[in-house]
Amino acid sequence: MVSTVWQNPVLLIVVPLGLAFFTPIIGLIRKELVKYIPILGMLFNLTLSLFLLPKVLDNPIIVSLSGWKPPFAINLFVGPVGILFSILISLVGLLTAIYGINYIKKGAVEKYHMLFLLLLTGATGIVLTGDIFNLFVFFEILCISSYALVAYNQDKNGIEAATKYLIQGSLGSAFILLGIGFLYGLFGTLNMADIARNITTVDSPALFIAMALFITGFGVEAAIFPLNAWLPDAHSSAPSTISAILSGIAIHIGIYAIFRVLYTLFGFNSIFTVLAVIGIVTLLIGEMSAFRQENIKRVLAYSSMGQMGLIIFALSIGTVDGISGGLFQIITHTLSKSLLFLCVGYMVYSTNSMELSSLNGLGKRMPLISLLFTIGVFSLIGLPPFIGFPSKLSIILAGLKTGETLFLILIVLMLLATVIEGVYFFRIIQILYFKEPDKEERFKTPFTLLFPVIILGLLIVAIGIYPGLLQEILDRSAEIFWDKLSYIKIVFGG
Amino acid sequence: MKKIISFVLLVIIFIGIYFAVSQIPYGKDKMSVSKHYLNNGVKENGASNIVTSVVLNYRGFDTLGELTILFIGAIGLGVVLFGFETKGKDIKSPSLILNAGSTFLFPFILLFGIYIFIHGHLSPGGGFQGGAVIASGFLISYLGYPKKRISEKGIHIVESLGGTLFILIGLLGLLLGGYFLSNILPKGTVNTLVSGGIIPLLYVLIGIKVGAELAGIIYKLME
Amino acid sequence: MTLQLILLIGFCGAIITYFAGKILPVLREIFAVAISLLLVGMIVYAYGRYSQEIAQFGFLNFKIVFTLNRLSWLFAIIISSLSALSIIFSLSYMKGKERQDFFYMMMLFVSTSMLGIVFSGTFLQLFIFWEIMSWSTFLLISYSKGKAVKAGLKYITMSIIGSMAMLVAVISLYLKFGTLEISVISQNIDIASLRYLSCIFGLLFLGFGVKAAVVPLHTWLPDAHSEAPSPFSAILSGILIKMGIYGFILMMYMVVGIKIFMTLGVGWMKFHYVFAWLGVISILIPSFIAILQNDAKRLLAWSSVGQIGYIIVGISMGTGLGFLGGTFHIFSHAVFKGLLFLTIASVEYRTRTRDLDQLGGLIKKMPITFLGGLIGVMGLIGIPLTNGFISKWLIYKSLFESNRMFLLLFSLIGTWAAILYGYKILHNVFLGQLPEKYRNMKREPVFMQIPIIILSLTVILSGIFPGIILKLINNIAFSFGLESLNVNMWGVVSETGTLNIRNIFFGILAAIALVSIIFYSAKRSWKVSQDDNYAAGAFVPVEKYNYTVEFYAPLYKMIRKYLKDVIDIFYCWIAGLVDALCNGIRKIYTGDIGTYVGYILFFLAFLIIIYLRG
Repeated sequence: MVSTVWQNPVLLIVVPLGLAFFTPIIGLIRKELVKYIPILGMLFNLTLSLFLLPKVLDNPIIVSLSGWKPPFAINLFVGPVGILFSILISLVGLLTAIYGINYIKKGAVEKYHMLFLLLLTGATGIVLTGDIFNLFVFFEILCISSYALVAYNQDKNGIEAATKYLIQGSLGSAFILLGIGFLYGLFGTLNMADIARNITTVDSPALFIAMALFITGFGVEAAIFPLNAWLPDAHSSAPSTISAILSGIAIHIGIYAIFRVLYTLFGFNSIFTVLAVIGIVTLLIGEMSAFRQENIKRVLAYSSMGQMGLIIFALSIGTVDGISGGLFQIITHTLSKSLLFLCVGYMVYSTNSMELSSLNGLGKRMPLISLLFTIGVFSLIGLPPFIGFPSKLSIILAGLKTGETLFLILIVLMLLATVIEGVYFFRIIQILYFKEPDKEERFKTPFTLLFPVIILGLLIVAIGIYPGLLQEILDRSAEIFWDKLSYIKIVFGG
Repeated sequence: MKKIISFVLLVIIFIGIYFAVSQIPYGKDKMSVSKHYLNNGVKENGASNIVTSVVLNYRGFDTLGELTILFIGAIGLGVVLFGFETKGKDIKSPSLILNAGSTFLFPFILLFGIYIFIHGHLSPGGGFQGGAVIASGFLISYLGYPKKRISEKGIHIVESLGGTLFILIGLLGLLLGGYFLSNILPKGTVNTLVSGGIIPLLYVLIGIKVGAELAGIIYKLME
Repeated sequence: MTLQLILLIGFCGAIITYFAGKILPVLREIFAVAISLLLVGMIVYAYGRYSQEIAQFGFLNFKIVFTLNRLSWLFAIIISSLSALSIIFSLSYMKGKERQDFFYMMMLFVSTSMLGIVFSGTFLQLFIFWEIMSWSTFLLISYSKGKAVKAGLKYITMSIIGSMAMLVAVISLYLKFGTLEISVISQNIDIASLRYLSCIFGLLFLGFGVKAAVVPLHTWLPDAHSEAPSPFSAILSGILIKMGIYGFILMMYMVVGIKIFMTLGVGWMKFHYVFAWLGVISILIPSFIAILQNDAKRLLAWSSVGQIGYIIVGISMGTGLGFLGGTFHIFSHAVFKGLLFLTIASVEYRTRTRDLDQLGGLIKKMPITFLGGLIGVMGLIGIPLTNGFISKWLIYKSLFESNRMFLLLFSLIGTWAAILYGYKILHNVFLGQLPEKYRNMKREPVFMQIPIIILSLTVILSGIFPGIILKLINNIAFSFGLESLNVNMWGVVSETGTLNIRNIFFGILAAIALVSIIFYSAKRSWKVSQDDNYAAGAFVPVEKYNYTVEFYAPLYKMIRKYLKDVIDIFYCWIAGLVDALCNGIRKIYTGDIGTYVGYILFFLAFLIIIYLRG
């Protein structure tokens, strides 16, 4: 018993949570130790998730809590998708935490690290849980800690952005809660597999309204157009580590939640076509809004919005290929966008300005950071040999494979958006390298800031050159993510 | 113009939700899960208050999450208000009645709060409610003596210990019972104080933690 | 393994070069030259060893295949040798410039990615290397800062649009044929309908056409070629734009096959017909625009558009002769245009300007460069005994044989324009009076002389013995199912008129001998100094006398008003439109929280309405 306890996936949630609770006490012993706690927690999570990955690829693990069988108690559904996300969360979390050691100096440092850890815990909880209300609870953990962290800098922009985010996010949460209420009213259970099992027995408008409420509610976090108005403000005024987490993880979690609910509870239906269109609209609007931005963090924030659209589109194609492409794009975006935000964080920190013009000639003043920034940008545009290329390729492939005219048109629009994206990103590259710097002196980058960024850059190149690494995992994940029947079967056994 | 649009939108949403609500068979016999709780709850958990056994055992994980949310609320406030100095505002001394009354009432309120959470598994009430009552005690004491401060450090330690112990109990359950938060302690006799296994323990922790958090929030906001 | 090894050496070599430069600048230069020469050596070694290599690893679910055939070998040798020469040239040219590590790395990167394109056995690889080429080119074009930044952006914008079209085409091919292997697709090409193939061609035309700078996709080229660092301009004009042509040849002759290609099109709008006319337009208008240019590199850039036109006209004929001419012109243009860009680069290196109005009389100061320029211009115009003559002769002949008289006429007019601008650049740089400020100029450095000499010799030698390359091209044509022509060392034998350089060679030799006998026997000539200006009886002071400004003044007056780059203006207008649109879209995010909440409600209401309506 004891030997297998350490492999129990529930530890992925509980350990960071416990560490976060324990932080104040450690803070009393020594203040400096606090900043290493998130590293510890995420290192643990990363190790455990990587260890679990090969196991769940064959058979997803069901973990019941409190010792009762589902649907009576909450259960975790630890499938490949969940572990994939968990790996991403803990990887980016770990790197960002390392980055944060020297980056976060002002303000309530101890509280920052606690919230940081809690945010990641919330994200992990969402992707692992198999209970709709539990999902909501973790969703709230994620959201509320991100509201607080957006305001961490305590400047006017930050507080304003956090307030807007709070209002919109709470509205979204209210919708989700309402939706859960409807489902509970209809089925008398909160277990997702249980609801999924019974959903065909009910044909009621309430079902659709619940779905609409879920899409809207989670959509706020997932930055679907037009629910994403909070995003540019929040992502640009948060501290860069938090922007990296928000852009790299939080919004993907929103997407995960939408599609988990749609795939598992409601199954495939016509709403996916609508979502695909909305996805492309989001993509276009995001990229076009980014086009003329002069604030580097806002450019990145709008670009995140666009990427969300792309992912939503991919996941709504409704084939295993599409889902696999969408998951791939999530990995791409997580790695690239956190890389970009971390790089930009350092640039902004050094130049004290977020204006694009302040980046003039930084390629000479901080060569390594600029190089890595370039890698991230190329990857987002989808240029080989970086990770963005295979992921975009598989999305387009999946879209065209359907053979439907609608998807053909959407893909053409998507490619147009790519052109726009390419132009503004290339413009930034030119600003970095081909404009005269105002000063010549070079910046010295501390190792703790450099290390995470280098790791991300290496991953982007490595997977970009050899995407076969992920192929199998993605395909298997997509299969399980999509397959409602096997989900029910796995949860209830037999 | 804007108002008309938002009115139209709200009407549409209202119609939709009305449709939905009107179709939901609330309270009908579909509630298989809750039936299971009602029938087996006491037997399986030894807590006579079914709500409590649902909250802390069947769905104990949710409760942990909710506790975390409250915790985040408290720290979040700390983050936003960090370094916010109270500029030595002239705080008027409250009247004598409030002054004396608060001194008198404070221990009783605390006691009542503690009662509520200790008996959470037997009677209505529980950790959250008890915690809130305790916090109201601190509120009254604050109103009575606005210049007195409780130690912020103390609050942190209490919060932190409450949460950590909760998780440790859960982990103990994992270690001994094979499931996180499984009820490892003996169930005891129903309807006595020492029954329900880990449930009263958890409620005590929750009560303390919630009390400390709310009190902390109150003090922060008062400033 | 050879092909993979070549690419591996190229890419890794590029990165090693970069880091070597961080250690020691000399090391970097040694590495760069060594690697580029090594690549040439390996490709020479690979001659005749035509093979297919299936890579050990795949890309997603796709197979990776590297192939070497005659066509790709021809391109590979042009790519690698011209890159090597450019890199050697850069040793002097780049001296003292900033960020040289980056420059050399990117030079190697671009050339290796082009090698990757020609070695690709599947369309996926083709696309991957195509993209790598695109972005590394972009980085090099923007290298000089200032105006180059804008040129780079223009280039990459058009390039992305092209690549996106290409990507759709590639994926659509995959879905149609279930594979991306070029050889397999070409065997099964019959299962695709003509309509489908026309669509694919349309998309690929965008993709390849942007790189090849066919009118109307040429607008990036004049800016990019003139603003890029000069040794790289040589690569750009010499080979990079030929990658587009490679793509066309690949599709037209190898994949689809020329028989099917000739039938492609919508109604009477046959694809090859349109293609040929686009080629002719590319010859005609840009050649005249080139006359108007006063920036030497811009002039050459426009001339490149024109010369690409010849290639396109040649290959779109679909006859053996046309293919021979077009493909030979790829080779000749690479050589003489590379030569001309390097010549101008060396002039620019010494004089710090490439403004044709300010230069002049450099013939005595840099004789080797002059010789290079002279031979380059001769090749450009197509004077016998240069390789330009061979290719143009073949192209004209194929037009003649295919009975396309209008095309022939316009191509000839284009050549007249080429004579005018060719002479203009030669005169304005090297002839006439030497401006005062260049009196004490030094000669060109030795690393600049070597590539210029080699390229000049190539122009002449391949002009006298065209058979060496013609035989190779003829074999390629044969493998594509075109009629095999009777090619020998001296040219092409055919019933309607044999190309025999030997006769021309001896004819010209005789003519030269005759002229020089007359010249030297008439002793009445005397030498004058460059500044001895006797202009119609009035002595003009040296500094005021300059022919070069408004060189063909009457002609300029005549053509200038007709020769605006309308297409470029149109594109810029669209870009402005998009820009304004994007700026407008941004306003959706008003910053007002009430509006935002309204959006959320709207979205929910929208979903509900969708439901209520069905």
